[in-house]
Amino acid sequence: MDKGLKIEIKNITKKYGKVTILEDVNLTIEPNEFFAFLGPSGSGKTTTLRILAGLEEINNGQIFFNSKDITQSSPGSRDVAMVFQSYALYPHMSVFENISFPLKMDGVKKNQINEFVKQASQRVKIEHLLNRKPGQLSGGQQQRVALARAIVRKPKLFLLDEPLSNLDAKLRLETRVELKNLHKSLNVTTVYVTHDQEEAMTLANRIGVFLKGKLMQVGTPKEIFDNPASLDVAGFIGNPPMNLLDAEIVDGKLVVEGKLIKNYSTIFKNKKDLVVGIRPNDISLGEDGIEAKVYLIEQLGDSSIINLHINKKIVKHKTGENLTLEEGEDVKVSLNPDKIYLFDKITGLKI
Amino acid sequence: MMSEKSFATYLITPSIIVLLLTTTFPILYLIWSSFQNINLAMPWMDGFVGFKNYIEMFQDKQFWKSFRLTITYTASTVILQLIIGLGLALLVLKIPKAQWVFRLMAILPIVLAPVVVGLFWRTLMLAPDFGIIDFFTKTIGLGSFAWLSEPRLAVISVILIHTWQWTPFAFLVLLASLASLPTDLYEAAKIDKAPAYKRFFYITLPLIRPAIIIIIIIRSMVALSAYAAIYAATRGGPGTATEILNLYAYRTSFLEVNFGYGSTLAVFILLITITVAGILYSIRKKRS
Repeated sequence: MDKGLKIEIKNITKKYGKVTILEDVNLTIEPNEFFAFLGPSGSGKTTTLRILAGLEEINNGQIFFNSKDITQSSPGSRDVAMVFQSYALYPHMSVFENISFPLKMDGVKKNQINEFVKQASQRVKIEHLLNRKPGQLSGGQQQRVALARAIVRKPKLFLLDEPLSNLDAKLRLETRVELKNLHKSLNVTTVYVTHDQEEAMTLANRIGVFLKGKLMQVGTPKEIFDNPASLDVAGFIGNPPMNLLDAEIVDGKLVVEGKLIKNYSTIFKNKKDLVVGIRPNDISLGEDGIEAKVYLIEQLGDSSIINLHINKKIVKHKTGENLTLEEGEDVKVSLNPDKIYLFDKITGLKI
Repeated sequence: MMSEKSFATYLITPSIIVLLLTTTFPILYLIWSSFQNINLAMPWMDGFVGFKNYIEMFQDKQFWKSFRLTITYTASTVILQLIIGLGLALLVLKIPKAQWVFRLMAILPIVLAPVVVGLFWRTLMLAPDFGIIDFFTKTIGLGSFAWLSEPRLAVISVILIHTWQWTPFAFLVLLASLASLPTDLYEAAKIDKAPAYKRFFYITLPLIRPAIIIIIIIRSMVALSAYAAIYAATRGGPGTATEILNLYAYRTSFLEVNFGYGSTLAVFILLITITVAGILYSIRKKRS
């Protein structure tokens, strides 16, 4: 079988005027990998994708496709296909013409074009829509046309820019599964941009977390969730993300809000400026612990998120138990000492 | 209390009366005149003549010559305006800053009265020896030309004058249309390996087609009714070299005072204008 495309991104920096959009990004994407760029808006993930497509120039750095430097290559010569967030379907062309456009530009023969378009449209189940115009299609159907246009040319690399963000919640879940299957059957290196952690976690082999123009951490979904490398990543990953509370070590004891959490004498004897991270479901309410006040309760159906005020800071507690709490009630909070993460407040790094 | 409907009727009645008096009535009178012999030079011949004027018109060599000239004038000015306007719009679109300067400059010829444009070209631009164009052709070694007094050159000159005045209109409409095209389509096309000229023919042109059709409709109507600029520049001359149908109808009616035949020519112009407009509008409807 054909060996897939390996991407190496080396020291990429991108600026718009004086504003730095991307700072020194380094990344290797393995052949046939499904790689997700995850981050909030403005974090640089889409810019990185567009750089891979050749749609953005860079100020510094290099990109290699299978060890070949393609930093200066035009988008057309990179043999990539992209699904845009807006789908970017040609509005004046029928679905058939849209899907066949890349083949036509590539000089593929007419009878082959028909065959390829048929295959691609069957794959995403839109073969009954070939004569329609994009304007006559629903959002989900348009999204499939964009996918068909991307897969029809059998490119070396798929770039997907938030392809599910314009679909309604139910369709998004269905399409997510289909995307995963599509990647399995095509087995092509795929880069997927999303701000939705759940999408990134379920789809990707590996995730790159982008924050403020920097690639903060790269790893499998489990690695990123279980082992966030920094405060920034910890504060972003998880739904809701980890609670972060100021802490210090006094005489080998970890103390948060004046309460002893656990003995920590092995690494430091005394240390200030620490942050404890704890996931919302590793908190429990009980007789003893840090004093808190119930601020707001969010019902999620099978579980609820209890927003607590601890020293003017909001701490989220997620629980499946049916608690009879009322907003404004005083409670005591304890943190599961085995589930805490410790960060250095100054460097932001995990300890 | 007056009902909304009757109040509305009161409001629009004056304008309907004015329209009837100023538009509908003159057109009906024109059509009536076209079936009459009305000739101030031979008033004793006046009276209803049926289709005599029309039969005469189709046998009139000057009519056919003016008709052909009108078609040439309309087609070439519209095509030139479109091509030059599109070229300029594509060019200005690439200018990152101060596009407004070009928009402002483009408005200037449009706001001039056509008669001023005609006079200005006749004196400042095209006058032999003194005109700017003549100065230019002499400078590059082509020599001096009788721009408005040599028949073939005169036709080219009046076409250029009209094109000069109205290309900015096409330019502004096309610039607005081009500026509204979504950039992601072009990015998609780049990734789909479409080179620049294919992006233009497969994406830009089809997407701005509505604007192009509107320009053709409006500009054809105006070119068919063109009068003042040509009159000011050449008076239809030399001889009848630049005498389009409007000028021929004017000459027949007001210089030869043959109002009956002049009306027939005017009715004919009205008919082609309506026909051309009808055809273009039906094309537009079909496409959209």
